[in-house]
Amino acid sequence: MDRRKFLSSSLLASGLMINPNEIFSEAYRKENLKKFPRQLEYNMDGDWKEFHLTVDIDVHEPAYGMKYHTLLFNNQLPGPEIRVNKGDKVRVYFHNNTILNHTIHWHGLHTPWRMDGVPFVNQFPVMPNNTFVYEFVAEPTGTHFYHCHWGTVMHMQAGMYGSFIIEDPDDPIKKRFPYDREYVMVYSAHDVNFIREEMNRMLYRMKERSYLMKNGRYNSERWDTFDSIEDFENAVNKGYKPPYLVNRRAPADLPQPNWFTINGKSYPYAPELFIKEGEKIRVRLINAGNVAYYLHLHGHDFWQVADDGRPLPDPNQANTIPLMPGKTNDIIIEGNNRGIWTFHDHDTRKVTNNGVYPGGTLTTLVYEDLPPEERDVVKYSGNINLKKMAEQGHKLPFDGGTLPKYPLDE
Amino acid sequence: MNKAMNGFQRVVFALAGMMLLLPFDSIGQYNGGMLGEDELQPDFPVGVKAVTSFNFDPLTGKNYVDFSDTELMIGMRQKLYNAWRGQFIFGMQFPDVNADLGKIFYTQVFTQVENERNTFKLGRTNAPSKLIDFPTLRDDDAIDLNYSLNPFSNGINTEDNQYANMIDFTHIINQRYSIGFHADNYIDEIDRQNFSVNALGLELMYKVPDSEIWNRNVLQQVGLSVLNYLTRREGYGSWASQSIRNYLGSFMLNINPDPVYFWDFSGQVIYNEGFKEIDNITTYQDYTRTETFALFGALRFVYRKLEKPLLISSGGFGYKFFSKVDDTKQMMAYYNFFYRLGNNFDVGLQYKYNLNQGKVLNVLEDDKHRIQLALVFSFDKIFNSQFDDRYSILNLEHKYIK
Ligand SMILES: [Cu+2]
Repeated sequence: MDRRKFLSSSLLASGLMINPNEIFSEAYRKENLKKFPRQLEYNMDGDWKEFHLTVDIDVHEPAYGMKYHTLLFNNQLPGPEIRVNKGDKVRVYFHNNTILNHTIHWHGLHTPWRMDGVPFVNQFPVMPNNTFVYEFVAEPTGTHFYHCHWGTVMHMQAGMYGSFIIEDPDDPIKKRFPYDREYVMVYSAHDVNFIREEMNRMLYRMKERSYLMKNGRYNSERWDTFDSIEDFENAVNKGYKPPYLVNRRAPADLPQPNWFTINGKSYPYAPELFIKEGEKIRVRLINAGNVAYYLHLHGHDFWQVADDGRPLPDPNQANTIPLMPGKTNDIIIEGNNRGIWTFHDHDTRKVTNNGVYPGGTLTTLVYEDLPPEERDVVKYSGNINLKKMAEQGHKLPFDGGTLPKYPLDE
Repeated sequence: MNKAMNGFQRVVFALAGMMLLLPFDSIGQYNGGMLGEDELQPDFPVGVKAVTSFNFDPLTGKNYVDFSDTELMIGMRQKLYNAWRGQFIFGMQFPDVNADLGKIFYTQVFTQVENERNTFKLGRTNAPSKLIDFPTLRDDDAIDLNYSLNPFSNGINTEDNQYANMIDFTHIINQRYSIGFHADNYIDEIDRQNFSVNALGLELMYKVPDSEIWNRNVLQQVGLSVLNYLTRREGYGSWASQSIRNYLGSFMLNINPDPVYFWDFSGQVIYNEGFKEIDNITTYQDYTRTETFALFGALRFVYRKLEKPLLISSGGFGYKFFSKVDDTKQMMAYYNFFYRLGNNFDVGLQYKYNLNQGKVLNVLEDDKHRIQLALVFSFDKIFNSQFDDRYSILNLEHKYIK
C-alpha cells in the first residue's frame, strides 16, 4: 500500500485523538468534574428532605456537533443526583412541563407501593402540567437510580434517568477500602432516530388525547388500559384492536442504539476517572440503558464491592465486569500501577459514535500525578525508530513526543 | 424508442442536462478510491399507491376496470454540508388506458436541495397548476374544474396538466408562510419536441402543517398564485400580451376540528384570463384559451377511530363559466366514501355527475354519471430515517435542528 494512503486510512480508522498533556491540566480536571451528576439540593420540611424534579423537552449534545431533542429531568442528562442518608424521609415534587405523560420509578428502593411509579399498576401517570409528590423513606443503602416508567422504551433512553445514592454512615465498604474520592458513572444507550420519530408521534398523539380529555371523551380503549382482562377481551371482541395488532402507537422497529454514553456523554467527551498513586477510588456503575456492557479496565484488578447497592460480604477481584440493564455495581480501584489506562466496554460495538469507532463508552483511568517525563513516548516506548529520530533531532508527531490519549488497538 | 422513454428523456435533456448520461464516477463527485467507501447511507423514502376501480356508467351500461393513478415513488435524502439537505425522487405511474404516454409515465424525476428557509427543486414533478388536493378518488376526477388547464395540451392526457418539468425556488418566510417562484416546461402536445420553458409562475401560501392540526385553528390554508403560460398569441408582440394568465385562489377551513369527528371545507377559484378573440370552442386549444372562471369546493368528513381514520367521506361541487362562449358551461358534482379495511388499505365508492353544455361538447365527451367501486392500497415509509421533516412537531415547536 502506498504510504500516504496507508497513513490517511489509519488516521481515518482511529478517529479522534486528543493529546494527553491536555488532560493533566487543572482546567481539564475542573471541567471533568462537571461530567459527573450534580447533586440536587433539598430543603427541610420538618424531618422531610424535599426535592424538586421537572421534566422538559430539550436539546442534548452527547459529543460536540451532534444534537438531538430529548426528555430531561431539570434540564440535565442524566438527571440530577439525589443523595441522602439511610433512613432519611424523602419527598420529591415531580412536575411535568411536557405534553407527554410520565412517572418516576425509584429503581432498587424499597418505597411504599403507591410511590413505585408504575402507571396504572400503582399510580396514574403524571399528566401534562401536573405535579406528583413522591414520599418514602430512603432504603436500602447503596447505589440506585430513578427513571421514567411511562413509555420506557423511549422515555428512559431519551434521558429520563438519574442516580440515587443512599449513604450509610457505617458503610462496610468504606471501612474495608478507605477511599476519599468516588465517581458515579451512569451508562446508557440511545437510538436518537427512534427517539426523534417516537417523540414526534407521541407529541402528535398527546395533542389529540388532551383535546378529548378536556371534553371528557377519553375512554379506556384510547388509553389502551382496561379494568380487567375480561374488559380487554370484550373490547377486542367488539372490534378494539390492541396496539400490538395494529401498529398505531409506536414505530414498527425497536430501537437500535447508535449513541452510548456515560453520564450522557460519549467519547471523547465521556468523563475520565482520575486517581493518584496509592489512592483508592470508588466507582459506582449504573446501567440505566437497555444494552449490556462488559466493562474492562486495563492494568488493574479492581474489587467488586457491591451489587445492586448491596455490599458484597466477600468482594472479589476482576478486570472485567458485566453491567447489565437495570443493574448497579460498585467497584474499588486501587492506584497501584501508574499510567493512563483504558476503561471501556469490551463489546466494542458500544465504543462507537453513530457507528464510528472510537466513541461511546470509552474512557480512561488517569493517574493525575503521573510525572511529565513518563508521558514521553520516546524514552519509554521501546520504539527504536522513534528513539533514533529523536536523537537525530527530527520533529516527532504529537507535540513533545507524547502519546495520543487513548490506545486505540485494544 | 417508446413514448414513455420520451417523457423521461425530456427531463434529462431539458433540465438535468447531459450529466446523467455520463458514467457515474465521472460526474459530480469523485470518490477518491478507498477513502470514499465509508459513505453515509441516505434516508430512503418509499411510497406506493395502488388505485384500482371498477367503473360503471349507468346510462350507457359501459363498464371497465381502471388502474390509472397507481403510483410508485422512491427517493433518497441526505444531509449535506452547511445545514443543507439534498434529495432525489423518482416516481412513475400507469396513465389512463387511452393515454398517449405509453405504459408507464414518469411523474417524478427531480432533485431538490433545501435548508431551513429555502427549497430549490429541479426536474419533473407535480405541476403548480392547482393549489389544493381535493379528496376525490383520483387526482384528475375533476380536472376541468380544479386545475388550471395546460394550453399546450391536446386534451388526451390528463398528465399534461398534472405534471411539468420545472425549476422551482420556494422561500419559507416562517413556518406557515411561503413564497415560490417557478419556471416550467409543460408537456407540449402541439410541438412534442419543444422542451423549453413555457410557463412562469408565482405562488403565495399560508398553510398550517398537518402536525399542528389539533391546534384547532379555523384557517388551514390560503393560497394565491398566478401562472403565465407563454403561448404565442397571433398578432401580439410583447410576451405579456402573448401569454395566458391564470389566477388561482384557494382556502381550506376547519369546520369541526375534532380529532374523532373531523370536518373541513376546501375551495378553489381559477380565473383564466384567456384571449378575448376566442369566442367559440372548436379545438381543445380554444377550450383552454378562452376566458373562464372555475369554482370548486369540497366538504370532507373524517371519522377517526382510535387515532386513525376509519371512514372518510366527501362531497364536492364545481362550476365553470365561459364568459365569451355562448350557452356554454360545465358543472360537476361528486360524492365518495372510503372505509379503512386495515393498515394501508381502503375500499371506496364514488359517484360522479358531469354536465357539459354548449360548445365544450365539441371537444369533451358528455360523461354524465359514473359509479366507481375502488380498492386503494397506499404505503408511505422512510427507511433508514436520520432526520426530521421540516414540519415535524419537534422542528416546529422546539426549533429546527440542523
Ligand atoms: Cu417519561
